Amino acid sequence: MMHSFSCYVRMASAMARSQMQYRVNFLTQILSMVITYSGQFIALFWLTQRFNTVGGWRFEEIILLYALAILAWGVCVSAFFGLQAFEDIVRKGTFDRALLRPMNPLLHVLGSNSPISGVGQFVFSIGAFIIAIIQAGVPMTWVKLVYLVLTALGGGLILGSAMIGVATLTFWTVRSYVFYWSLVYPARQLINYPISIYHWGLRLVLTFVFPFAFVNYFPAHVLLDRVAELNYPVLAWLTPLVGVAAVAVAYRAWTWGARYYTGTGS
Amino acid sequence: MRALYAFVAQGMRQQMAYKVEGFIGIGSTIIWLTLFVGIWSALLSGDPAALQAQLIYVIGMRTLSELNLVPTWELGEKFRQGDVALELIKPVSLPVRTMAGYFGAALFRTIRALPVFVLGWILLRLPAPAWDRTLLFALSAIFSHLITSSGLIALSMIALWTVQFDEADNLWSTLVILFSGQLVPLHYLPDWAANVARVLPFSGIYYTPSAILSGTLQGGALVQALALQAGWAFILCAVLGLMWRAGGRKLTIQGG
Repeated sequence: MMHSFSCYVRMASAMARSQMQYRVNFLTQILSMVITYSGQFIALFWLTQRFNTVGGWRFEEIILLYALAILAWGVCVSAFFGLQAFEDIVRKGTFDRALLRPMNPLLHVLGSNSPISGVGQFVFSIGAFIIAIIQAGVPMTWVKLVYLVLTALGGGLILGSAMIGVATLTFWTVRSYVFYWSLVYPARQLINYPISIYHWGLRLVLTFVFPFAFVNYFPAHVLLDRVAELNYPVLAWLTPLVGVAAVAVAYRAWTWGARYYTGTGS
Repeated sequence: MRALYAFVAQGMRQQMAYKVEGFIGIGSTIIWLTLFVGIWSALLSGDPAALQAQLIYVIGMRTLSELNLVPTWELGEKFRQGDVALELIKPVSLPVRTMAGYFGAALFRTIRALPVFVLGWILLRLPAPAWDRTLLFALSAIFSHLITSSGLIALSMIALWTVQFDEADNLWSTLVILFSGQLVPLHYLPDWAANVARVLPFSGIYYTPSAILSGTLQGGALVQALALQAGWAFILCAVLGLMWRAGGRKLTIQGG
């Protein structure tokens, strides 16, 4: 496994170097991402200007939720977003290659994903996070800062396990784009708002089945000193653990699904 | 006209062929509807009348977003790979054919999602829609589709000059988020932003039809908004036509 990881690191850093070769393209992509997320930021600002709070959360708190969601998404984009295009690999039969290489097939596929493709997300979300923290006037401590990093990684793993899920379904359906854009993408939008505004059934699903609430809603309580408001305060601290568990489950599903892969041709 | 109809029908049939996509599409419709109903129920919980109008608005808006899904990234691929060269020898021009095909596919997707919206309407206990408003909504929805489809195809034509249009596409989506009324209807925007949004084409995509359905737009304001929307649909279609003619002359096929 260590060998596979070191192969992955080499492949991914080669991808990063190749992406950096197109400098203007790389910079416009970052700028374009920042503009896109800022549009949503302004729309949220207008919404809270008119209504003051969304389900009891003020503008800066909503922005903190949004910043955490985009930060984790940046991690996911950097490591897992290539799986969106997994159907091309399955359809063309090039997954054969990953199976034959002397390394873990999933890491082989992930190795062709540029690890710096989430830079636009990082630039935006760190900026938005700083604005939110200053506006909210909550003190930043070392504990919170460390937990922020762990949350970003954990949240990235939670979203990443959804991408692994998408790729797993591809083994049977030979479709991945549609699973991402029709299910994962809208589900990601659900957590841009405090999940307390939704029906309890949906809240349970977002906590226990597809644990997206751990990406931002629960950890935001730590960063905003609101942990006491949760019925089960421990949930606010679980994001890194949930991330690891989600990837473990998704990885099991993936290895099981991979057995149903049939190459093209003879 | 016959040719146009054939392309619309072809677009519908193509969409029908994707069965997996059909089932997933229904799931997608449900998630989006839940999201917007959740937000607005939280925001307007103290004002039942405004909430009712807003929920009707949301159902209208989600119907339109099924109708406004235009897969122009396929066109981008065509330009990149040089397949567009073949387009120049076909008797019906690329924009006309593409728009008719997209309309067919969009119409099928909308019809497929309709049961979800009807069920949502019933579950949310909304009053039966007035037939005149519904008809005007349908008319306005067609203009809405024309604006999106011609606007996005025109943007993808930029690729004829630069072989890259993703950034222009992202800029369009950002303007849609801000000024179309998708997330925040114009009457809930700050005054200055609402005034800007009213004259831009984007409000024709979601706000105008949805506000007609919810009864927020009435009388003179309704006629004005509808006329403006039709005007934008016409202008964008004209721009698309001009771009295609100019682009056809300019076109360089990679490797050709």
